[in-house]
Amino acid sequence: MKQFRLLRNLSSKSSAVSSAVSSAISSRAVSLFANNRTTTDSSSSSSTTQQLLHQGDAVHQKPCQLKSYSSFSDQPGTEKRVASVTVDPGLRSCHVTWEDGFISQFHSAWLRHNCHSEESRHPNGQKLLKPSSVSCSLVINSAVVKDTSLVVTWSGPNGSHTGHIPTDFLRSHNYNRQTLLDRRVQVKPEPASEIPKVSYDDILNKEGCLYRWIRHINEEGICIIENVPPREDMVEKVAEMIGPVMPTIYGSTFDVEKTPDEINVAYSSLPIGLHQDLVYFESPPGLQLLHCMEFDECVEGGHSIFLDVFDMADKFRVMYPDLFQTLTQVPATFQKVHYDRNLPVHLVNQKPHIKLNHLGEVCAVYWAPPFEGPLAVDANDVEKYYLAYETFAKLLEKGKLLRYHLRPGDLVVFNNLRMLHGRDGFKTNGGARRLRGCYLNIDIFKSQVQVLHNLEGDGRLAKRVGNQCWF
Amino acid sequence: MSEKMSSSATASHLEDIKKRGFYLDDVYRHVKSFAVKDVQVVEDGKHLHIEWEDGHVSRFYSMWLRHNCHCGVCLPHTNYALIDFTKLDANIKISSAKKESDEVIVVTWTGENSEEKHHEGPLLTRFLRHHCYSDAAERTRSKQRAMTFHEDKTIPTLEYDSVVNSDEALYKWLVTLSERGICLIKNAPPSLEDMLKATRRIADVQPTIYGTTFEVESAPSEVEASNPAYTRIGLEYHQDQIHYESPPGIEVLHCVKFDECIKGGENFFVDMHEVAAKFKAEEPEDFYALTRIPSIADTVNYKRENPVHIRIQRPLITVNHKDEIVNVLWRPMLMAPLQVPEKDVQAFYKAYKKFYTLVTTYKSIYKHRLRPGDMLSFNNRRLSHGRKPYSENGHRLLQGCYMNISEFQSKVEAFHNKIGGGRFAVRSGAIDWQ
Repeated sequence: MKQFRLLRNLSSKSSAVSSAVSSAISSRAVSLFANNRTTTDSSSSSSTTQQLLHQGDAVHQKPCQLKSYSSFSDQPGTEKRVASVTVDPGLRSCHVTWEDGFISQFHSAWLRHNCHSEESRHPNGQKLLKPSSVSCSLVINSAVVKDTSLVVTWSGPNGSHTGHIPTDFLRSHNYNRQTLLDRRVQVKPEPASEIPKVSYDDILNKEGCLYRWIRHINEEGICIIENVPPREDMVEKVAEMIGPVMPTIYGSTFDVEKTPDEINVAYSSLPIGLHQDLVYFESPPGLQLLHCMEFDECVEGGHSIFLDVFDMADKFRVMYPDLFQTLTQVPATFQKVHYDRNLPVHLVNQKPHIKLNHLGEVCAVYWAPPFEGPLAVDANDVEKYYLAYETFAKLLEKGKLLRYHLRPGDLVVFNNLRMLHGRDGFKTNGGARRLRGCYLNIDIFKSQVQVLHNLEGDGRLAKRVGNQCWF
Repeated sequence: MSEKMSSSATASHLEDIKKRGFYLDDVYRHVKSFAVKDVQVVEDGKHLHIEWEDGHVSRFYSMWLRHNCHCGVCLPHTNYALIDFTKLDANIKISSAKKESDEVIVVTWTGENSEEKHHEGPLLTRFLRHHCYSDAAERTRSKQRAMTFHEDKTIPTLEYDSVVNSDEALYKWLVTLSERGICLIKNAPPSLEDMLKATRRIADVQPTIYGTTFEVESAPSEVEASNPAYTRIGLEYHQDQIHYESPPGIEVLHCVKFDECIKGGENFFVDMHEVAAKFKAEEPEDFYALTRIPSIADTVNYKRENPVHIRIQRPLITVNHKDEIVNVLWRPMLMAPLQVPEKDVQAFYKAYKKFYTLVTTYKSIYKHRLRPGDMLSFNNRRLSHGRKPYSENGHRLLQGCYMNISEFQSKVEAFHNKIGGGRFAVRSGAIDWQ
């Protein structure tokens, strides 16, 4: 297995953080927690969703000392000292008051499941506790702080148990409402007004620049690297700074250029509408990299276009709550059924265009009109679906595009699950336009972002990336 | 003159569709009842009624038909549809529909309030019958896609030589994995390359954070092991690497060494979809709690050469729009602290405990002690696997790899159409609402 270059390039002392990025944690709290209701019940109407959004706008984020709630516990600025612990009447939960005044509640079962005693948890972090042995009627007999741990004694039908949980673990995993609220803000991606750029030399040589590049991809959803050497293998080399290339039915790398037989629109000079690639996979490619190898001056048109589909989905919800609901409920069919090729493929994945988490927030969006198979849903849903589909298509057309004319040496990296991409048509006028591309798995990308936030940055949470993660 | 031109144009519809690559012979040859008895535009152009020779009736919505128009403008290239919905009228109407031949119906649409006022194009009758969305057609599809569970938990076996050399045996392997979720390949030669020679018949290896292929052998000490799999301790039921959006699909464990003197080390498997179906029937309230309240699977390890910090939050069970179970995820060992609104914390643990108990005490399970030469393949998305602890004498070495679930399912569908009778593949356990 190829070694990723990522961490070898990093200096542990590096702390350069671009101000543009650090301001990305918006102070505007759009919260679906506003009235503590979720929209996952089928009965909840779309207007509730809208109300939640509007109410959310009015919720102001209280100053909070916490910088991170990730499971990486050694965070700067995280209060680990406990002022007092009170077991609640009923003995089913306890309240922890921290030195900084923050208060969090923990339930007996939650505490037992996160017990750090030797028989409950392997030194490598994996849980050894048998869940069936944890009774829901477990009560807390005592909870006191000793050194850096909370020592708890529980009793239930299976007898009693005493164990400990480090206080820093408790603080970073607490589920106080304010904490959850703050996390929602941290992980919500905000649309970019322009495409951030970095230079290839800087990534290689300038401290903190590799991290900055990867942050841009996570926060803006897209980043262009300038002055990448025009070699055939560079797109893979750049990808491997983050993780191994993800091979697909199109191979490890692919070329986008006008070919005489034009078996796919991508290989013609026609315009290509906004879409995502390979959505018929359960986990479509995460990052897409396109390295501009040739783009002659004489070629007219051919600009690349991008649109943040998460932002558009949020707008769609506000404008057409009912239609939005339809696109979360009625599944579309995405497919690539092609027998007339070396390796016949019959890939079909049925799923709604928009997926929501338990709080009603958008956690995945799929849009790929060229790869939609026949709708296969109940007859009652067909008309409803097409009305919603058409309206969303029209809204996307009004979206504010990021448009860019790639030059040879430019390498654009974008999150395929968040940014729709396409291109204007072009006239070659005897010249050439050729891009070389490859993909990266989304989970590996998100992992690298989180690792870098913890090793190089301030330990913040990675933004949502569209991989159906409900967090 | 104009009449003649139009008739010669329509006569070539079928040929034209074939030329563009949209006549999927391999799929459509299984559609036997495609002869149309009667075609009628009804409800002022909103729907098309088709009565088939075998008595079945289909009803297609105007926009559904427009979305699937097979003309050269809408489908210019293989697998690439170009229909601009922003130019279509939401209330598009079918103005006429005419049977051109047994294979083609030509439809014209009109839309008053949009850019596209008029459109004409062909649709294949076999396509229409294949994709008919009537209740009856949907019932047939649902039945074919549903997993079935057998009381008999004998692991089906095939010979290594046959799956490597014959497409029929390969099809048998695919069907067994698709329908039962497990298949033992016997008498495989011991090298890694020999294992890959067989698995590549299905799909390329799915690489993960543990590499492209992996070895299961106990590490010198428990604390050194990055994963309990590399120790001799028992492993409770789990699916591998559910921290990925698309966790490994088919898993292969190829036994290279397993000395007779070793006590223990048997593998056991439980069908998570079978257990989940029972849970749904017996404890609906708790079942739906697990479809609604997400838990987090994580792998966080900064001590590796390439640190990983993968976390994914989602429910353990997913149902589709028809309330059918499509996805079950299980790995108690990888569960990170629950992070959901307080009101859901107790409900989750109540349901989780019940489901856990049902899974771990389930009686009908597969068991097997691997022998050198055994290549055990199973669907990691359908079965949870576990291992008994084993004694410290002797040598036990397994090698293995994974295959992506979408690619596996593609292969099964393709083989059903190429070699089999053209049925829909049984659900694979992937997050796919079909």
